[in-house]
Amino acid sequence: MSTNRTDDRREMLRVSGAAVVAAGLMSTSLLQPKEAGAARAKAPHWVMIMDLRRCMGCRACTVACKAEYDVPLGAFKTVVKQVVTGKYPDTRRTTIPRRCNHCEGTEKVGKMTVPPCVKVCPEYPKDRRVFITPEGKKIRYRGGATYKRPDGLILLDNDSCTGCGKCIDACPYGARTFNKRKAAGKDKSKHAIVKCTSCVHRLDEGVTPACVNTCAAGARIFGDLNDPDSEVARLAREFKLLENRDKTTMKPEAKTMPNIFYIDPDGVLADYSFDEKDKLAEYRDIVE
Amino acid sequence: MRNSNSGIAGLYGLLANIFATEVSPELLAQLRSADFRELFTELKIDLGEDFYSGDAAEIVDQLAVEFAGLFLGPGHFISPHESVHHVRDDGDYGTLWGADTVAVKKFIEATGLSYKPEFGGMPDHIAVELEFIQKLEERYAQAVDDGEMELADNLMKIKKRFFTEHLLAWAPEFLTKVAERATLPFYREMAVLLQLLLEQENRIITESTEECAPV
Ligand code: SF4
Ligand code: SF4
Repeated sequence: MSTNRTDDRREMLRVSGAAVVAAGLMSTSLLQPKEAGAARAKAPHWVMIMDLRRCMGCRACTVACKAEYDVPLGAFKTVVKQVVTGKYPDTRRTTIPRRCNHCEGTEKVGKMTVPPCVKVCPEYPKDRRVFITPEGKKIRYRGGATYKRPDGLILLDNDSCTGCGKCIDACPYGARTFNKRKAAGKDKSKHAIVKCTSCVHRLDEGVTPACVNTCAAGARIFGDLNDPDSEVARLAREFKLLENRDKTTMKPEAKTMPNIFYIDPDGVLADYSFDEKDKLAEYRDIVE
Repeated sequence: MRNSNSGIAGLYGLLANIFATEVSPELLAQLRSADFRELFTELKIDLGEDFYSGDAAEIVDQLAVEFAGLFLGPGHFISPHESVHHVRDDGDYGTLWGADTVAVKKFIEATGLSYKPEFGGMPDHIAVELEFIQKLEERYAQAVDDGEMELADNLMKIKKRFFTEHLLAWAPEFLTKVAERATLPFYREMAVLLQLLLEQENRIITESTEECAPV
């Protein structure tokens, strides 16, 4: 082995690395073997869980969403609302993050079960599309101005949208609104629709939505419910989120079967009062 | 390069640990042990006398403040993520969650590893990249011991690709900044140590590629 001084130090690294191991150092652990699991041919079932114990109302999610999409002034895709419970002096304020529920729906269009916003869209169903599962299985479905992908996402295709606004009226949650800065694809005299897409462009690249990524408190947990090892599946089991939909989802009486669940051990969701007169106010983030 | 060298995995592991999070009291105790002191002296890593003789709790605090200032911000903040530093031809760099964040995540997951659910950081953090190479080196050493030469060769190919396409493409520049902005000897010297390791690894990889080049 050649030995001049600089090389000495360099060659040392390889040799003395052994000493590091010998010192029995606890190493960091950020990675783990992927669970083998049976290959799933099914499409993912994306859900988001809002852990109300953790949300601190900082609105980093609202800002991250605005930045990700350049959401126009006056419109929001995700907001943080609040509910005040108890009687003076024993009161409490809970912050409640909201976004489009990407509802499962209960009504049928063809073979697809869809939520009211999709059902009502005159531009659905239109073109034929193919969804490819992570295991490579092809699932056929129909596109439209508002449509449902086999992984449960409720998406928009502005090119086929006439801007009629029926979906805005149909959504019981006020999750949709007009984008006053963009024209509808099929009728330029009307406005386009804006609502949460669950950051589909990020999901398709394998990364989590912007709001989830930014939430420092870890109040937004996102994942595939079809994967029994996922964090969301674990939480769904622990808090019986699926069994108790009437307590773990927003406005269960609307029968839309939301895919956003809330961990709400104190039952504050029941005290959330919807603005029935102006439901669009639901998606305006006004810090009270 | 068929010598089994699990030692190098240890070095990657140590550095992953140091860049992942603040130095814990336990890690500090280990780093101050005679073994490590000897090792650092051999490597000409000078952590300063204070590091060895100062009050442990105080040093842990100082290092935590320095870590936060360097890698968490605010302070002399230098984002420890590849997509911020790795200059790409397509211009998609300089931001968090860029094209390389996705590329690193996909690369790592394609090898059958996944991020722990409790890891709240971004997929292209320097500590992740170091731990990934640590894991590849460990598996390589095991494959060599078991005489699974084909697997060992494949693992080295994966390591070389990840090393040249990712770690080496951004870490040296990042580490230069760390060395410049660190106010305590510890992070400055650790940045130098990692730079040295990368240089050496690069040299070995380039040489072995030349050897293997088809004539
Ligand atoms: S929340 Fe409204 S817009 Fe979203 S899927 Fe349900 S009905 Fe449609
Ligand atoms: S506004 Fe567009 S998306 Fe909504 S119902 Fe009309 S066509 Fe469908």
